[in-house]
Amino acid sequence: MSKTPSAIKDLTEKEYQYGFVTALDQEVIKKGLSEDVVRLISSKKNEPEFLLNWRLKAYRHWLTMTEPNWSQVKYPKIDYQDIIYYAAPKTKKDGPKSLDEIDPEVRKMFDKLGISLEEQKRLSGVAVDAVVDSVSVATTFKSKLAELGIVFCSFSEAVHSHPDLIKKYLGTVVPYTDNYFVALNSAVFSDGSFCFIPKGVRCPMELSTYFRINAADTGQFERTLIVAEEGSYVSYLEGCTAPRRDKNQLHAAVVELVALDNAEIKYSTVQNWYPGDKEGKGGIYNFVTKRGICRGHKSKISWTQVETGSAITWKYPSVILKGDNSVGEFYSVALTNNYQQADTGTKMIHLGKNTSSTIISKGISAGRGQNTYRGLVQIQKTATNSRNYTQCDSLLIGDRCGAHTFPYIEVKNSGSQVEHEASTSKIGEDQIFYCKSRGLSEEDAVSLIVNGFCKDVFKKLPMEFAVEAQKLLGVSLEGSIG
Amino acid sequence: MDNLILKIENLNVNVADRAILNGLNLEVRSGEVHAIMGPNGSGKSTLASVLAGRDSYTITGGSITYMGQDLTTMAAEDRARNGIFLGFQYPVEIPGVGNTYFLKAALNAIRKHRGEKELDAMEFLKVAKEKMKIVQMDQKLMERAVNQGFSGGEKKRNEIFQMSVLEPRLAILDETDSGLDIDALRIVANGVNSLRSKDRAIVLITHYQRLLDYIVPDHVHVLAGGRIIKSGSRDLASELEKTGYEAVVAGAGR
Amino acid sequence: MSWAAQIEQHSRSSKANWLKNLRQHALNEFNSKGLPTRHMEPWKHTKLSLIPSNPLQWPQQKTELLGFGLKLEPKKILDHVLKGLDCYLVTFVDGHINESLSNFPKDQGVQFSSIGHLSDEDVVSFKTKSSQHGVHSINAALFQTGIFLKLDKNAVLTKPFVLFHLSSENKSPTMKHLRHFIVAGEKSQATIIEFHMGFNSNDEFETSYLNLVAQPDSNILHFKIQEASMSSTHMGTLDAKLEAGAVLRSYLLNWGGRLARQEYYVALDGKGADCSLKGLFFGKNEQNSEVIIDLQHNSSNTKSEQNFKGVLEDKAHGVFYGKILVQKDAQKINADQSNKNILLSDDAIVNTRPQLEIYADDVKCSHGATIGRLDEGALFYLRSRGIGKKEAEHMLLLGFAEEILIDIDQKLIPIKDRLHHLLEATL
Repeated sequence: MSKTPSAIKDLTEKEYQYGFVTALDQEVIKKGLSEDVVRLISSKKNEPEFLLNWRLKAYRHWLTMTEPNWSQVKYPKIDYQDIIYYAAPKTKKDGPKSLDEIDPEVRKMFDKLGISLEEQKRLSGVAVDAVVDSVSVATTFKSKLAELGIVFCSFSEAVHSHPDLIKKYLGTVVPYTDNYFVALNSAVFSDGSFCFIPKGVRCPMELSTYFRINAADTGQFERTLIVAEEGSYVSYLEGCTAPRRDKNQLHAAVVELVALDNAEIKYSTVQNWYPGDKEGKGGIYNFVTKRGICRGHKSKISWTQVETGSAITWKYPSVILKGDNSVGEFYSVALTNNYQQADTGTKMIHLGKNTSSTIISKGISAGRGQNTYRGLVQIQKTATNSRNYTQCDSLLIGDRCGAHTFPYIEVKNSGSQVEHEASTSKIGEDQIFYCKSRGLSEEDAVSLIVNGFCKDVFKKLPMEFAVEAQKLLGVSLEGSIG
Repeated sequence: MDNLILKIENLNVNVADRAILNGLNLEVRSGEVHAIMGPNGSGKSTLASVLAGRDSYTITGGSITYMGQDLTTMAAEDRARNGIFLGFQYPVEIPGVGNTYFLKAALNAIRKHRGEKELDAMEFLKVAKEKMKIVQMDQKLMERAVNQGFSGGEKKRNEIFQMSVLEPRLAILDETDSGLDIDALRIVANGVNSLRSKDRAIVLITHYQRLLDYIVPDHVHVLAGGRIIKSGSRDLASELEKTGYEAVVAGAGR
Repeated sequence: MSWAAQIEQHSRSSKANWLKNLRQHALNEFNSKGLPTRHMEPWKHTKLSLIPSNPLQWPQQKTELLGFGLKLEPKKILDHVLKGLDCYLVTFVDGHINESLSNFPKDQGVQFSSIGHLSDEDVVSFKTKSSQHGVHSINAALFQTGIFLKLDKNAVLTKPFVLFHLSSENKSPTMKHLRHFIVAGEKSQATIIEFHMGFNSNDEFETSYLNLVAQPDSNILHFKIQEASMSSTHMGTLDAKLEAGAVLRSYLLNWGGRLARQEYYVALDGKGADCSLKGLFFGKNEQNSEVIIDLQHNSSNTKSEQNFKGVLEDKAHGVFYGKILVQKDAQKINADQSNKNILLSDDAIVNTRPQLEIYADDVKCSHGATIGRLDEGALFYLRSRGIGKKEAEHMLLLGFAEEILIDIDQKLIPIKDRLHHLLEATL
């Protein structure tokens, strides 16, 4: 009955909304990767010696590694010499001193994306750092945050303004040896966001970074570092889009979070990189390493992600629960449609006493999409009286997609409690029928049911993002039935 | 010595660092039925759990004396063997453990402690059958796992049935009336009434006075903010029903 | 001699064609895969050092048997364990069939022989499958004994069929490899019970592979009760292919062994096939107890259930690795998987890996896994009725295990009793 609703089929023709290209005056280096390229990137950013050395060590380590192949995703071999490792919108001399100096084209591009860089027209209470291709182009609300002692700026800027903090924390959560893509990122990362919340400060607004890949043939390798000192709190959001191109583009980011005693970091992502077309051509390879450490007593790190874009997503935002009584959370919605593949999940490593973690994962597979949840819950011997609760649900829409659940659970003490539940089922025909019998169209019914399915995750998102995510889900699902 | 069974003096109890009971005093004598009433969150169930010896409660002050012995250091099973019975508000379901097997093991543990002969399966069944009549327990329930798949009423009946088999000196019945329809309430109340005796004390913990229409208490206490703020005869319960807890709590000058 | 050399030697010496093919295939497989390594997912947490790196001796047939230094009387053991169960029986002593202690199946429409007497024709139903790993290759290449049972269409095995494997004391490390073939014809019925019991204090390596083909609408009830000695490495496999409407119910007690691993490969090939696998795995001291499941829904309207519970004490290590695969176009699938574990010591470890891999959409699949301690509410409830802490824990553990055994047919009371006896003694 529900196989070919024409209304929904029509919508398949609708294109990826953010697939436009902006004609920016770009500064681009030549394709390929070598030690010279690493040096060039570092010199373009006028980096201190320690950082260049760190990059070189990472690069040399990367040369010794091989690309991982254990995940459920399949893709043709990436030619790492066919990627541009640095692309930046050209700026007057040393980059914009203030928002007024931003290239009007960049400003227009962000307006088109619905992200206003004008502080006057801002989303209420969201400070934005905007990253195009390899560099950060604007950070709003900087001065207001500075009054509280909060540092929120581009990574490149932080390297100069707060080298001690960078030196102290960079690579402490995700060492450059961690995996193939981390080593690559550590060698060639061009920008990203840095955020530091001093002791006892509750950040009064959401901090947000907007990532945009614009140039062709480029890879984006950004790096985000967030440090929350004792008793501080921050909520951080990131959004991502890219133009529609036939060729796959690589995005290999690294995010590190550090929470000290009683600190809380809430990190939300709405990832909508270009997923490729209906035939599976083009799209972003989103190979990301995100990890936080609850270093302090009673600290808390919470990851919330809505993954609807990218041809391939490969990421496992994780929490190392080192401090006693610390808390880790992972809430995820991952949707794959057409030929998209997602292999995502989390790792919760319990080391401290009385630590607890919660994992809620909702996977939606449609079209020929393949969606894999892969998660590790590890309770070490030292983590007495710890708890984990995991729930992974998969929803299947259409008979050519796949949903896979691969939890790894390891418990090494008897006082802890781990519970894992998972289910996979088809979208309920009786639910769709019920909605339709009350006058809803099929596509509205599907969208309603899917949104209901994801509710537990959406309610963890900040308001503006939750609305955005719901809309995004609706758009991404279009054409999934039929 | 008068027939004092339970004496609680200035009892202070914490749960996870929060003070729940703050200086509670209570004396219960043999043959008496006490009703402890109070609004939600007043500490009623905490009192029941502390008396039965649940681990997660920390006694920070005061004393509990049962039959002349300090109760606070006694393990839960030793309290039961010495005649304390807690009727649970939410009886626990235990899959895989048969009801009959469980109760026989409990009775024999208590008998052994009393120096009485342990009962074999046949003897136990005889006792059980007799007692089942008291609360009109269905034989079929005995063949199932402990409380598993029992309705709310069946669970509460099972509690009173267990009480009748184990014959405690002091029974604390925690919200035994909650979740019961009027017929089930009558059956359970009749069961309790038939177990009233001069050698036994019963403490009823309840939110509503409804239960007290069926089981008439000798003493009624109002528990609020972790201590008993008013005590009286059964008329106090009727008064509460009319005026509500708020008025009594306010009247007690808190 | 190396495994490869021994396998090569054996693959040449076989006479019957089917056996020659099987051995040859095993040789090729072994040469390409070798022994399992940590890099192979289902072996990731296995203590691989407990798999001998070179072949051991096949145990000698002895006239006088010893068990832990005492005289061993197989007859008495059988009587004690089977408690008068009216059954067909094949007794293997140290890997050799003992006819005087056996009662071969002889129902109408039932063919029975030891594999030594098999013809190429007999094994036509068993397609030589590719081995999953090197231990299977070892078994396929080296097995020297086993049975063949074939039930014709509509045939009913009137008594449960017990395969009793007894190991006695050996002076040096030994190995034995057994393989049983069972073909259940259309609408046939049988109950198969595998016992493994060890009285050997010396190192021992035993592989036991049961190959089952369940033809349409056949109905098989299977038990495996593994009480190998604590110095043995036991690798058991149930390899079952279920055709349309076939039903398999299997129960496991993984009790003995220093490393005891039971693997299941179930292919639900025919429409409406239905499989339930249940079991308990225990570990004490430094035991390693593992359950590995690879269950494939290859056809529509198929149904599966897995329910395994583990109890680990001391320094024991438990592993559960269970996969449900639903193939593309296999629609209307019901699959459930549950693995619950209780850790009784801080030195015990459990690794659990329930997995769902689904390529069809009209499915209802779920899995759940828990690792934890005994329920404190239940413990308090029992204690508040006067039951001592130790006794209460024992009762709860028995209750935890009982859920797996509760639906075993009353006709198999001696089997149930044996299981209960082992639980009582262990938990």
